[in-house]
Order: sequence, then C-alpha cells, then structure tokens
Amino acid sequence: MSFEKEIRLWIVPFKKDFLPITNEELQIAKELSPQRSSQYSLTRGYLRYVLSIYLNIPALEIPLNAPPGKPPILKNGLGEISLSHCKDALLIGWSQNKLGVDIERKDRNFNARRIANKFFSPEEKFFLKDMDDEKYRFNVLKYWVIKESAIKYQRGNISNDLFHWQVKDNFRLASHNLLKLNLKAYFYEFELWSIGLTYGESIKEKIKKIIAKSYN
Amino acid sequence: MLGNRIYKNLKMNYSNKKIQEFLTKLAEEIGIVVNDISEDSKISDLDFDSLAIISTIAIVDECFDKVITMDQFSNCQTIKDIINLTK
Repeated sequence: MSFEKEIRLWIVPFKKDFLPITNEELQIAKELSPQRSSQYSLTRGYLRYVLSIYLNIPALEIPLNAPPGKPPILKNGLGEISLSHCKDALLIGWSQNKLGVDIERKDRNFNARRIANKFFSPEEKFFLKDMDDEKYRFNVLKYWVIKESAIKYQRGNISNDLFHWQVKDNFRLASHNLLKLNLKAYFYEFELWSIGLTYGESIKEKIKKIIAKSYN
Repeated sequence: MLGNRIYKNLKMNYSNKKIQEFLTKLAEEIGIVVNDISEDSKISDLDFDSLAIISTIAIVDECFDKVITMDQFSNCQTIKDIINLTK
C-alpha cells in the first residue's frame, strides 16, 4: 500500500454513539473503571472508523494495538499514529513517520502560572513574563500541547520529561535538552480546540499536506 | 508529658491545615466545589487528565514541599493516597 507524503490530522468531536471495537478491546474496556472504560471504547471505536475510511480496510480488521495509557501501534507497515483526547473531542494523527499530537479545549481553565513556574525553562518564562492573565494562559496552553505532543513522540513520561522539552523558534521547534532530540513543532487552533503536533526534524520527505477535518 | 501532647496537637492542626489547603487548591484546579472533594474521594471519579495531574504534582510541591512522580500518582486510588505520599 502506498501513501501520500503527508501528515493527516482528524479531529473527531465526541458523540454519544459507540462505534464497533474488537472483542479484545471490549475485554480490556470491561476491566477499566466506568469513566475510563467509556473513554477507551469511544476513542478506539472512532479511531478504527477513521482509519478504515483512509486505509480502505474494514474497521475491525485494522491491525491496531492500542492498550490504555500506551502509545498506539499500527502494524503491517500501515504507518504511524498518535492519539489525544480532551473532554469532547479525539485527535488522531497519522503519518508514514513517527509523530506526536495533543489536543486541549481552547477555553481550558487551569492555573497557568503554576505550571509555567514549576515546569518551564527560563527562556519560556521570559517570553511569558509581561503577558496579561488571558494571554499568559493561552500561551502556556500553546507550550503545553506542543510539549505533550513531543513527549508522545518520544514515548516518554510527563513528570520526567516535561521540564526537559523546550519549545523554541516561535513555537516551531521542540528540543529535549538531555536526549539532544529536536522535533519540528506546529500549533493549530481549530474551532474549539488547540492542537500541538511534533515530528522528526530529520525527515527527508517533504510534507505535502497537513489536513484537519472534523467528522460530524 | 503535657508539653508532648501540646506539641502533637499543634503538629496535627498544622497538618490538617496543609491538607485543607491542598484540597482547596486541587478543587479549584479540577473545577469543582471544595465541598465536593475529600481525602476519601476516588481519583477515578474526578476529572483528571494529564494537565490536571501535572497541576496536582505542582500543588503537592507547593503545599507539602514534596515532589511526587507521575508513576507514584498513577498508583494512587484516592486523594488520601496522594497525601500519604508526602509523609
């Protein structure tokens, strides 16, 4: 199967309907708490649905290994995927190469100064320094979705790696200062959501398209 | 003897104050009324995503001067379990 050289992003607003998942996934869902079970079933169902359309494979036959809390894997050379969700939407990233994605609601309320003071670099804090509360919150969220997406790319751990990922070059680069790893970074605002995307700096193929679609 | 008792009471009051401070900040962070959260609250019943977890780690550090990790947090079932990590 050959694919276009692109990174594809799907934003799927959550609806109440659960889409089909495999028996194995149903079994996994049964062992989770009610809230996590619902979230797991919903996200895996939508993931299979979206990939089935793009890959032209029946949803339940997609060779997907995506246990809860672990990076999802697509087998048989069908590409790389990354997942993220917030309370009302799922973000699916697909590429032929490794990538990381993160989504948050644009209006997400949180103590931005607390996060920045504890986890951000001196340079990042300097960038935020004179901003009013709303601009500060918005930019910390921008940093956050890029850093989270970088941690997903790295298959790292938030509490260990958050401090080591720095976002530079006007939010176009993410660097891990211990691993000496640099990633290209993109930030998008799409309807109600803020989206972070990171992928390898050394990818030689040109990125032709970055598509964001919502399925209603 | 009396001195020891007074000391223990003072220590308990200080500890309870810190716990209350933690619960207040945590409730604010996850967007619920402080009366809706207690040490016995189950984490699975609360709205914890990764941003909320990281915020909680920062709040623990603010209130108890202790650093906990994501792995430690993921082993907690209740708010009390988080507080016990600080002892």
